[in-house]
Amino acid sequence: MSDQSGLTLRDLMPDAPQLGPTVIAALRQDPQKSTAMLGWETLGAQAADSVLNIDVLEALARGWSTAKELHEYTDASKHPNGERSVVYLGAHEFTKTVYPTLTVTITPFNPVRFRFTLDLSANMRSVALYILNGCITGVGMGDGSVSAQLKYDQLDLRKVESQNVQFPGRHDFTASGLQIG
Amino acid sequence: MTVPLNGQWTDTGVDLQKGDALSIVVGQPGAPNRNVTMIRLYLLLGRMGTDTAPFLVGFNYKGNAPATGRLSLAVAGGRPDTPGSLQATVSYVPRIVVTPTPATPTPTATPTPTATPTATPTSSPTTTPSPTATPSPTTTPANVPVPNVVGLAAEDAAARIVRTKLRPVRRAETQSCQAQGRVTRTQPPAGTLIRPGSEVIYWTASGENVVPDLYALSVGDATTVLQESCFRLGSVTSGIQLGGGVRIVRQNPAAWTTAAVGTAVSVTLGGRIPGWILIVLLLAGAAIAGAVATAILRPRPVPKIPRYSARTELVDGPTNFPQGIQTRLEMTVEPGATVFAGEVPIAKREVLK
Repeated sequence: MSDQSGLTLRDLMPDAPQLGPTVIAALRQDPQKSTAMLGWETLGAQAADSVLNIDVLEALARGWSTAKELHEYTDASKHPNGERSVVYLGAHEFTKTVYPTLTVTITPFNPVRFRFTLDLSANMRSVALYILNGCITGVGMGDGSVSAQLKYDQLDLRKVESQNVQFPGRHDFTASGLQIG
Repeated sequence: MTVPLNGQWTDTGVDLQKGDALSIVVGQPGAPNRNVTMIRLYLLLGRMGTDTAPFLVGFNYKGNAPATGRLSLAVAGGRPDTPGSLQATVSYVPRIVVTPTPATPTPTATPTPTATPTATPTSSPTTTPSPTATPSPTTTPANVPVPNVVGLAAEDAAARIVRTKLRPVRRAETQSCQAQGRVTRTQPPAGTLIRPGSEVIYWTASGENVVPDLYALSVGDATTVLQESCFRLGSVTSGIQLGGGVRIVRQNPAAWTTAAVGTAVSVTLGGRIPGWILIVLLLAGAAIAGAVATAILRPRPVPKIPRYSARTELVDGPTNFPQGIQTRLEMTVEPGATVFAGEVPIAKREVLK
């Protein structure tokens, strides 16, 4: 589990309240999705909140956890258990895609799933990763720029151009952190 | 017949003449009708034709058709979207029309304007005129009043009607407060002048009436309703003594069954709140008031932050329960691709002590 890092999708998309009406408009195109529309109309505001509260920093950290340059930290012979490491990454670029998926259940209807696509593009100048036992346990001391695009089905809901982000302090993920590899 | 609670007029298919004996009873005797457990909240109205003013039928209407026309029924008090219906039983007896007809001379009353004495005045001093020789004017039998037989036993009533040179006709038994077999009413009513030999229809009581539905009524209202239906209030059971309004939740005999006139109907009251529940409700109310105050005083509600585990990325999103519908919102963040544009340079490594 992680605490909120303070950088959420809402921070990148402050004018995202249009999210709900856009989804409704998309659902209206398909008569078969009347139940889905009911679900969105009932819980749409909260659903939009859930999507916008996604922790962007954690999503990016999931991207870093797949970098092959960090794979050696899963080798206990090189980095024994209990060793606390800090890895400072230089300038790099990557894109990370996640799929926020909302499941709305309204009795007695069957659950309805809303699958969004969030594309994050990061252009980092530097960032520090805290690693313990093959997991990224925290992020800090970084800066760069991030752009985001949120889609529902094939519909572009919102796209924001690169925004500068800074991680002046250290943010730890709770529990064991994000597994590298 | 079925009358919807949505206020629409329902054609009964019954054509009546003004004055026809009409009976409309809500419910079907002997058949419990849960649709009308709250019948007291509604008013059943009747209408003759489409142009006349409605008349109140209520719970149990007995009277005469107020006008000539097709009888329709409707329920007042419901809204156009009110579901459900009530059952009403309509029965009627056509009014007996008493039409004065010219008197037909009878043989014994044949006027003999030309009759002559059978003896001359001089034949004998003892000779008296024959009765048949008495000149008589045209004779019309006098109309007789319908006797008042209401309350009499059927046999006595029939005998009295016969004595009045009228012809008694016994009709189907009906509900009333009279004891079984007693006459409840006649048609024509008592005192009406009709020709001798005419029919007088009389109704006798069955001695049993339909028990009214007392559900949700107060004891006072129930007493009135029972009196209207010729019953009386029996025992009143109430096990709980604290709290607010008291309404009837059970009754014996059950509603819509038949029972002998004068039967005591026992009722059980409900709706009162036990003391301990009252205390719990008060405490809950105080807690809710505190929560509301806290919510109001709080500058801004903090939105529930989706949380997800590192392993499953399962998010326990917020939930909401509008309008009694159970809803659940769950969010998962499914991992997608990561694409690096080139190498990820490691500028520096440190091992923390």
